[in-house]
Amino acid sequence: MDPIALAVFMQALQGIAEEMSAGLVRTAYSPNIKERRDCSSAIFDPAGDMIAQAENIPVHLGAMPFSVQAALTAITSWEPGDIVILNDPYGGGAHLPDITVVAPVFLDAEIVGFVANRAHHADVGGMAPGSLPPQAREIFQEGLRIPPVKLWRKGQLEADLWHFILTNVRTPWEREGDLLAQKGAAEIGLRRLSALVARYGKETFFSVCKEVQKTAEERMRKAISQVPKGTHEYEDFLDEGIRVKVRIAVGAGEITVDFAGSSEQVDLPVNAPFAVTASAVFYALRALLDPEIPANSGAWRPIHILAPAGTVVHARPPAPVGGGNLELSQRIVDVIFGALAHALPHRVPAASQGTMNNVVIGGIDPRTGKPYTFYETIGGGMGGRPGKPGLNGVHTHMTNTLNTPVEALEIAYPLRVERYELREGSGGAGRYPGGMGIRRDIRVLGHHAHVCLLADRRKTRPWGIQGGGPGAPGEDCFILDGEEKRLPAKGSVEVPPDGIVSIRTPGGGGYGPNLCESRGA
Amino acid sequence: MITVGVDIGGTFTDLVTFEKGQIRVMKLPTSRPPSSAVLQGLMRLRPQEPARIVHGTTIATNALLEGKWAKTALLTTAGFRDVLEIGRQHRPKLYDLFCDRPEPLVPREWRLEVPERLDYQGKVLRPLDEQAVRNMARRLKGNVDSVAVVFLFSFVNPGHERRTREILVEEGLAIPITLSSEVLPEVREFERTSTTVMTAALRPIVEKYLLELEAALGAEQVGTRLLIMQSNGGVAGPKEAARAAATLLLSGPAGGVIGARFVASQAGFKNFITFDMGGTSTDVSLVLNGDILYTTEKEIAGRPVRLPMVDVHTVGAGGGSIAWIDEGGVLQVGPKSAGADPGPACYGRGGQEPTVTDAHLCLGHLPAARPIGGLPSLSTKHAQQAIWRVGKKLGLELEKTAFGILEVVEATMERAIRVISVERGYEPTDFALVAFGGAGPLHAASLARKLGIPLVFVPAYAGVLSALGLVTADLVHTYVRSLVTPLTMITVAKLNAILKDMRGDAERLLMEEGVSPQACEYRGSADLRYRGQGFELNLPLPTRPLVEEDIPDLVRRFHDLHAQRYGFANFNAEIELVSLRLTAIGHTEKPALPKISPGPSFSHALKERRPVWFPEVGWEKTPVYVRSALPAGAEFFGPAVVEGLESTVIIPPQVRVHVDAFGNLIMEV
Repeated sequence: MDPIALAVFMQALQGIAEEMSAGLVRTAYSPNIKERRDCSSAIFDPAGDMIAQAENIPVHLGAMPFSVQAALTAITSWEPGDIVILNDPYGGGAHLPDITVVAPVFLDAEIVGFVANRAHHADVGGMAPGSLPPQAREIFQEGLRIPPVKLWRKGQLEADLWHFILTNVRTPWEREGDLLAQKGAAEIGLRRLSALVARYGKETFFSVCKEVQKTAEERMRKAISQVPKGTHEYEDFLDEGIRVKVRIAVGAGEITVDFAGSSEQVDLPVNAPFAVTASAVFYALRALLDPEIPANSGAWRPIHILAPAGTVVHARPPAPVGGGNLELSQRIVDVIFGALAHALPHRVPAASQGTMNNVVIGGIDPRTGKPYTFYETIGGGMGGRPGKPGLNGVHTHMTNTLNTPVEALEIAYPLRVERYELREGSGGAGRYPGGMGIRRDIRVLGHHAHVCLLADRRKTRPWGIQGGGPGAPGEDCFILDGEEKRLPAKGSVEVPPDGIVSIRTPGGGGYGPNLCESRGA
Repeated sequence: MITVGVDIGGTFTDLVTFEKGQIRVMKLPTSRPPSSAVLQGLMRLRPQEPARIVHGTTIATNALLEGKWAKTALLTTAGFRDVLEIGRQHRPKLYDLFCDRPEPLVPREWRLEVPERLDYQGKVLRPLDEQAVRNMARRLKGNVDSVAVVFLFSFVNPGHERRTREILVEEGLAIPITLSSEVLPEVREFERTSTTVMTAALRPIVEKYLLELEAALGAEQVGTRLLIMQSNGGVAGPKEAARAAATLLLSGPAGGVIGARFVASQAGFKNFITFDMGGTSTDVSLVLNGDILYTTEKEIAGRPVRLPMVDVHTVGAGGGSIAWIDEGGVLQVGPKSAGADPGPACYGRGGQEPTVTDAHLCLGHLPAARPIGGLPSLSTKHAQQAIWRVGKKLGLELEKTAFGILEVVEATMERAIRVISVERGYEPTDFALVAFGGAGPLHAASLARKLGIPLVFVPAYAGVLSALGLVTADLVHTYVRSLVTPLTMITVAKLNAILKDMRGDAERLLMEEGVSPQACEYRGSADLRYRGQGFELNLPLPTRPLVEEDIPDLVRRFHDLHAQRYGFANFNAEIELVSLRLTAIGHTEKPALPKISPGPSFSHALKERRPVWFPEVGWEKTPVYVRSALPAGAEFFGPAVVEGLESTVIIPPQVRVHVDAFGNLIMEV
């Protein structure tokens, strides 16, 4: 393989993936996608191996190859103009609000690859607005499950299926806009990819596909070989005592991540499908070992994941999974970091907030009489790092979504933000202190709203490292007429007009022995 | 009145004047303070009458990059002082555990909360606590040099922000006070805060610099007027430029685009992509029907500045970019640059790492002896050694390695051009490529072929294009009003009233700046989106007052543009008017570019024949022409090399090139 063609191709593929994401963000309707950029795009070879991705949300990216594999298994015959959608966590998805589209790329009647993008929709039905009900006991309560199906066949919309989907969601006009945006983005990708392949020829392209993966694989092996060989263990918990246990065996250019000993799956929506666990492992190892490794399927080959079926890290149907993607994935990162802390003392930071602080508010907007669903995640403290403090008020590890601007939120929804500020003193003490968490207070205006919370690190705390102190745990309150009541971090509450939901997110743990006091202004 | 364009760069200060149809160009080493080089140049040019001096400056950009902004306080709505630091709560890099966000321009201790609150319609929920503001004034006095005021929903109702300024002034605060409702009356508090704080923090720096420059120039020649190039491609007086200091952040690249447009449009080009490749970075932009495209979504040094700027996309790769092999064994070029010192390996000043320039030298693209006076000649030996080191690791011979470096850097350029064309809904094949900057013309033909661009235009005066842009720039002021209302709920009368109001402000300012009413032009436009979307498309409005029929026309054009850009239109969806914009242009007199003399033969322009490497044919004895000796009408085929003062043009085999009446080179690739 010509090394120059390889370098040029890698740039071009990266460019195509980024064009898809840019188009998606600019045309989507869900605030999750347009304001918070909760979406990702990637390119695959004909076998379904990922060859390039636009870096948006870590939890999507390691999991998308599973979507394409599921589509390839389910769909036996592909035609130009076909677009497949899916969201079933037990069939290539992650959790139900994440809808993935997969489209084949044809050149001269031959499939030369696939493009895919994934976006977090504001609602896909189920027992609560936002489709992340904390009280779900089975996946059937979490929303509409879509196995891999063609929504567009030879370029023609499957109108029956379209109608069926839109009938099952709370805000169909939004779903319509978002799905069109995802289709538009996929078409940008497939046009560009087929033009690129036409320009260089199929043979060159196929050898590039192999080569980019080989390159990434070799680079990952090299990175692994820098880690002292041996076995490292760690365990950590969600607030309910749910255990995530890991045993990492570092071999010669290979690494085995074994989750044996983790809790059995639970009837709470925090179970992770295998794709989510794999995503978290890939994220953690890439971040610790070599952040610049091209993220394609080749990079993952030296990594072996053992996750016993039926546990929280490899859920089986019908376990609910809404928060596996959001909360358990963060704890998986924590245990991998914790396990490697002694092997890589100059790389591993203290624990970051370890949650995404998911908030869903829904109800009938008194201004329009129409239902609305508002979903957001809130940043927190980053763990102190070898040589520098953790960042304040930021998303860490498995997510990187943007906030919803206060002004955009108040225009769009019957809600008012009363405060949005850093939590003084919440960062863990240490030579390099943890970052501060965030306090965000939201008032409900002129109606009764249904508020769901799905958060963690309210009892357990983000740990410090190398002698640093832990970050403050998060807390969640309901305030009415000046009276403050604690809310469960995984639960829902009916909020009357003028009630305030106050979310206070965890601070990061500190790094190194305590030379200064806990951090504040 | 004579106009002088003054472009102060890091290394050279360029001056361009037009006088009696003659263009005069001067290059001087940049001095400290920069005004002394300007004065020296002006003395040498000795204008006989008061001059209009148009200045492109990097003062704002440098202050930001070097962390030398003014000590600034930020007054916010109570409960929201950390908006500036939290930003959009994301981290700049996903997998880099050690990445940092840009430092907030105002530290936490100087972010002060004012009890007050408006709702989304601008209604007062909590009145402004005037006493609290008075107390703050005392705290600020003598402790900070600038104040930014950003309250929630001030873009709907600026009352509290304005009253706050009144109180601060009443309390004797004599420092610049910058209101978000004046800098950027637009929804989204973080972007508005960032833009306002940026303006406030740069204002004292820019003000001091411009006042000193103006005083120095005025002392030299009474009646001299100073104008400043802004990021929107227009010029403004020093007072306005300082007040809106953040609009100077792209002053430099904007000048280059304006200059390129001026030269290219005189030669008859209307649709083209500008490609300005320098030593460490490359700027690309798109010109459509002779109009420069603007964006309001720029980030400067990681911080959003939502002001209209020439849509220049910058990538960190240029002639000095270093080629290296990454951990995975893949060849990469840039973003690290050899800079001016030690410079590329071929400078022979100790640089060991191979750069793009070294690759060109190895392939015979560049002459070893450099035409710019006083600069040492280039060492082919040093270049080859550096390229060898990389080639050995890749298992490639010298030429293949050097050519590979060019291919990789061109892939970066290609991607940059796709961002400003394909991502905006335009096909590069419909455009010409206008190449300038020290390295642009070396890559232009090859890059154009990759993008399917049929014509390459290498302008005359390529070395002083920015200064030329300054001489030919118009005065431009932009205004915006946020509405965020369904299009069906707004009357034509209301739209006209808002446009008229903005136009009134613009007319006053242009009059102050001495523009005659006949030279003024006003362009209204509307930002529209499907209700529920988060981004808008900008559509031009008729120049006359709007009538009812304009609305359905606007709707139709919006659907069309959405389909063109994003591949679909949603005819059932409601359309929302997000904001109205007005661009006011004070046209300046445009000089005509002088023509060069035609000639039947150009054999005298042949400097030599030297071996040059091309991927199609390998080494080939190739004619090298001296650009200044080529007459108008000269026409020939590649392979050839044309050497100019500031840059070298590579013409690959089979490419036809001709010299037009102005001395521009036009290649058909």
